[in-house]
Amino acid sequence: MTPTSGPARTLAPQALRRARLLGLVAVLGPGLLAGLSDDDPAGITTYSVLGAQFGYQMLWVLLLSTVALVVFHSLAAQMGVVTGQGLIGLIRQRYGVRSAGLAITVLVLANVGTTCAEFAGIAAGFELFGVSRYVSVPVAAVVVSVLVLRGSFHRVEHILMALATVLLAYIAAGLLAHPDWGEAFKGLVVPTMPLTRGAVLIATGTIGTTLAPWGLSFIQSYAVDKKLTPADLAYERVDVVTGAVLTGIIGFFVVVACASTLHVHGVTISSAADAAAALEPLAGHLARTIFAIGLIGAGLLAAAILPLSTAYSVCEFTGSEAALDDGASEAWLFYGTYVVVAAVAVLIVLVPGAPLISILVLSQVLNAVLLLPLLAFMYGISRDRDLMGEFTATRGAAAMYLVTIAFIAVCVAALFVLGIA
Amino acid sequence: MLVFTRETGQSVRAANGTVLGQLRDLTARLGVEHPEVHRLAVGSRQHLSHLLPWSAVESFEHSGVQLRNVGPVDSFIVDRGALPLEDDELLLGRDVLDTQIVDVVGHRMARVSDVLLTRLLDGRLEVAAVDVGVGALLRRLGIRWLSERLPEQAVDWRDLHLTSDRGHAIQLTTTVAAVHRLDAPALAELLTRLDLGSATDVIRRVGPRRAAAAVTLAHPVVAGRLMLALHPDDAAKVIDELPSEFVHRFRDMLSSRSPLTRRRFLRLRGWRLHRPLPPGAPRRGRRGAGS
Repeated sequence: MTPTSGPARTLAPQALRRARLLGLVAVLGPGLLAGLSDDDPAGITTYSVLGAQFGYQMLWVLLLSTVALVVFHSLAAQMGVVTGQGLIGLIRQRYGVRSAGLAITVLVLANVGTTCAEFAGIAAGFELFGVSRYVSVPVAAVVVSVLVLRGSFHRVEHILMALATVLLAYIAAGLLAHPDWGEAFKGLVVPTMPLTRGAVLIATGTIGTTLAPWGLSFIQSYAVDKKLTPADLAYERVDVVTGAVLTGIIGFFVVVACASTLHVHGVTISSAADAAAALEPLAGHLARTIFAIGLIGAGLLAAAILPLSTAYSVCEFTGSEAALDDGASEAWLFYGTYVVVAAVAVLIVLVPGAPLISILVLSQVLNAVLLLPLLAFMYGISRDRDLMGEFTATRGAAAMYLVTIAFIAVCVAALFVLGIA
Repeated sequence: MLVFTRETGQSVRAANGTVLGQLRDLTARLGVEHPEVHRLAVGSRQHLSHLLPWSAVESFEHSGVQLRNVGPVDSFIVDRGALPLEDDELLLGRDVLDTQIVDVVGHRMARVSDVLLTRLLDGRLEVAAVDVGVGALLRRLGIRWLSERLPEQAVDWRDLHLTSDRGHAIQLTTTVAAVHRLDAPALAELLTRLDLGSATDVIRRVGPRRAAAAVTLAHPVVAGRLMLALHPDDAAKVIDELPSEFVHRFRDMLSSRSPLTRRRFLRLRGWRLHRPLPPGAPRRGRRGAGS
């Protein structure tokens, strides 16, 4: 008999199982949790509209968006690890203050739009419970802000993540809705779409919600904040790829569920209740409740991260030191930016008669438009040997970045040609 | 006081009046507390063409730079590849402007909005300080009405540690740099702000005794990260210099590294600086490694 290796020989079977489980959790856990956190109300709603309006036909847009997510989130994490700087700071160092000024303007605009979408998601979720947005949104904003600014949001983060987990119900709903898998596969791999303004709009929104500007700056600052070194890059890549793939899988099942329940009956989504109907094959009359809980949990998570990520980027631009363990007087720009971003988003959502679904989707279209300059800067940095050293993008990687940017540019250009409004 | 970004961009003329190009950058050698401008980098926006010694400068004014007759200027032409800089020489525009610095007196990380130069009696320029204020940033963006209302935030050149690759490397090897005269609390503040690669460079450079004194003052999260990032041989040397109450903690931490170490399961756990703890504050070192 061949003797077993060291750990297996010395560890009891139970301890060995525990060690393996611990290893698996260590490898995949952060990425899976990141994937769950990234499925925000804007994403769920945009994917729902994609499925309800166009069935399975445009699933390929989601596939390409997920590939773009993997590619650029991996690059952002690598840039953070190699340079030790966040995206905006790095743009300032590489391209100077004017380019960085453009980048931060673009990022703040996109982030305010997406924060609006998150609060719109919270409002839509609470409205399904009969709570007015004029109550739910201000209360949510105050509670989230107090928790974040006191540095104690992480204490409730897992609770909100658990609430957002109910959106995994889309996977079961998609399976139970008896979708036409042949059509779904065809839609995933055969790129066709109607050349209409509505189709281009939702395709652009799908890109913008999957590969959002805030996600790029967040993932890079997250790698910087963890003080990772190139030796940690392997784990970080696992996190990024796992998170991105989970985001794509959930998105796929949202589209499939909506395609096989709403699209086949010609239902379009004009309210959260319409979107919730896609969960009925799984949850029956509980569909609205599940959808609302998921929307609220995911919305609160994202509403905390987005203004914080924006504040971090603004401080990177100015060079101000800012951290959650600073007081407000020491880090006035950091906290001030947080409050302004959250307040502007809340005010927009509270405009009487503001259409929540339109806010959720159009903010993601804006994301895609504003992505382009940021991706161009990232491409340039990835090719800069002085900054990236041995991690400078190879020609193959650079070509992949350019193809991704070109794909997004074509969508945005088509949108402008066909008219946005 | 001269401001770097206002002085660059003007034409550089040879003794015979021909324009060589625009002044794109200035170099300085870091062997003294306030280094003098050593060379002028001249060229176009796309690339540098000449590196001219300061001794070639006849006059250096905001309206332009006039060179004296120092022989054929072609001898100062540089290749498009790596610039032929001395070991202790850096470019103020490339390696300092818009990069991050650590203010070792003010204990903060900041980004350089401009480099402040003083003109010596003989006309030479000396690097005096950097301006890390928002005012200088807004001035460069052309928002003058607001920039004029904001005060300059100067950090003396003697009191900063550069984080750009070249600046950091030169300062570690230049004995007059701030990093070599920091006491333990200031060193702990510096290590808190640097990325791990640079921080471990500093630890190796200052030696295990000074590093150990700083590690005992650093926040346990920072201390844990540093010890785990060091090469085991370097970590062992630092541990040998630690007070006994720290020795077991760090030896245990290094020997019982869990697969969960440095993995983060909460996204909003971050964005904390973990400044050095005040004297007497309780230290919970074991938790540090995982954050």
